[in-house]
Amino acid sequence: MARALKSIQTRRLSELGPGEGGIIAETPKLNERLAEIGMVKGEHVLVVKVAPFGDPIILQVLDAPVIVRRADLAEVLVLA
Amino acid sequence: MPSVPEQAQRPPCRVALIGNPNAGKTTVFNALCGARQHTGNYAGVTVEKKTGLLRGHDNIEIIDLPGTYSLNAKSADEEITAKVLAGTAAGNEIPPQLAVAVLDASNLKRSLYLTLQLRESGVPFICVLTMTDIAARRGITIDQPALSKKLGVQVCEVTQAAKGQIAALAKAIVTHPPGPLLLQREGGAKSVSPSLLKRGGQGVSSPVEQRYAEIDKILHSVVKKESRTGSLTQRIDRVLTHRVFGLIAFTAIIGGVFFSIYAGARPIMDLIDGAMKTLGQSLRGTLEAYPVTSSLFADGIIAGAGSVFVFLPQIMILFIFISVLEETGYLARAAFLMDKLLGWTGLNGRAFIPLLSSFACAVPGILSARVMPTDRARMSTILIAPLMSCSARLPVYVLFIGAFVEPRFGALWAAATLFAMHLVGISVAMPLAWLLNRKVLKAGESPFILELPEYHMPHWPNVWRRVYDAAELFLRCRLSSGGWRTFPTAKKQRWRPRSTLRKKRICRS
Repeated sequence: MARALKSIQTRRLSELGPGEGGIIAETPKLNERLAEIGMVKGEHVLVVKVAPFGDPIILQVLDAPVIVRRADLAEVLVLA
Repeated sequence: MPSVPEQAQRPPCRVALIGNPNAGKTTVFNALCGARQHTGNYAGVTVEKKTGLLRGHDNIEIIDLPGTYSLNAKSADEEITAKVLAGTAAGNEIPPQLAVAVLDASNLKRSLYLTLQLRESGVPFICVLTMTDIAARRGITIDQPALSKKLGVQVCEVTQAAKGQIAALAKAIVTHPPGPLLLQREGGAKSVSPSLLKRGGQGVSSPVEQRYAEIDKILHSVVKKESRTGSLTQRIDRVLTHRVFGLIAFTAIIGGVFFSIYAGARPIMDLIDGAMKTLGQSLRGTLEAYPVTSSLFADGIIAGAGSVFVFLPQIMILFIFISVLEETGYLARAAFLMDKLLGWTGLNGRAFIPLLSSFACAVPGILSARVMPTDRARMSTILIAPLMSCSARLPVYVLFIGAFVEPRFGALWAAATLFAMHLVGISVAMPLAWLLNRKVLKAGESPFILELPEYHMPHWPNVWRRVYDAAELFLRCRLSSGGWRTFPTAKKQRWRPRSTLRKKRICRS
């Protein structure tokens, strides 16, 4: 239990690699559209794929994946 | 409503279709209106306006609003959607009496966000569930009566524009009681519409979070999910968005498009060209005694129209490809692959769509630049769109390639050369885009969010509609001015201003 708790940490969504994901820690405010498409606090996100040249990335949010640029995700923190 | 007493016999009833991008709005719109639709522009902005008359009900006008995720507008398109609903759009727009919210059943949670905003705005609405087949394939079942009860509005289902379902939806639109709801809407709109347009999103608990909390409550008893993994879309995407194979597939697909334009359009073009020449010759023969009249008809009208008609096969083939790629969902994958390549110039993956359209003709390309979210990004896209080698230059390439490349190296190299000729335009456009975005317009990075739709077979009526609209626009713009250039005996000074004036007016209408 203690180990499991220890492994949970806040990370920037923009720094996650493919296959990594987590629970959104705070609803994004600067880029409101992110919140409006479902990236609200408590929702799960998963980095599905990274584009050939490293950006943008495909995120699984709610039921349909979305293409987002890393730069636009700078403020989003996830509990991974 | 000041306009109601004037048209007492035919009360104008406006119904707005609203929904997320890719929710299947266009399919519903085309099924509801059939061929009786009109594509124009909203006053003052380069946003496409699609309206049509409901089949069998001439007094009901359907407006297909630009797709949006939120009424809190972030682009010109989305602003129009919010303004039309609130009745504040420029150009004497009557607010719609009813909104039809198109909900993607396979993506219901996100779809409902807009629906809740719509409900808050006070506009009376009904809901349409689309893509229920895709949802079923994913193991999602939706309890339609329960959803209707929770939302407090009627919910119809339309999958693949099935006739019976469309008829039921049309009936729901027609029978929707306008009276009491209209009053409620008028009261509600006044209090809500200002906040509708400039909702900040700040505050302790943001409205976005509140709406999603409410959606969770609604969906709790409405949606049942069985987890299924490894859908066909995921399997296809493993290849098509792969960092190596994805790029190879992209090059092959776009290359295939150019090859089809090169090889497919040519016989039809030769046919049109031949027919027009024969027609001109025979007319010249019969009108030999009247040189001016014969020149007007043979060189001016027939040769002029012929020089325009001859491009039509290319335009149509290109638009068949663009709309098929869009309908199947591949265009979003292409934007994903291309975003980084366009990104350094300050453009984003979305710009790929108007730029690709510009290969057919800069006019539809510029029209489609409305997908760009900010004014500056749209402006820079519009400015570089004409640098894309438009299909009017194609015959010149085809002529030279046919004379020099094809006889020596074969058809494959000919297609490659054609592709390379188009690369020349791109290689000029990209640095210019960088200059415009970074130095002149100073457009910041525009946030780029694009949904990856599930792959599905194109809905052919939608494809045909796109091709027809593009062909019509092309013909209207070119025919109105093309003929005069090849009519040598007419005084150019007298004719030019009139033809250019007409061209401008038609293109904007």
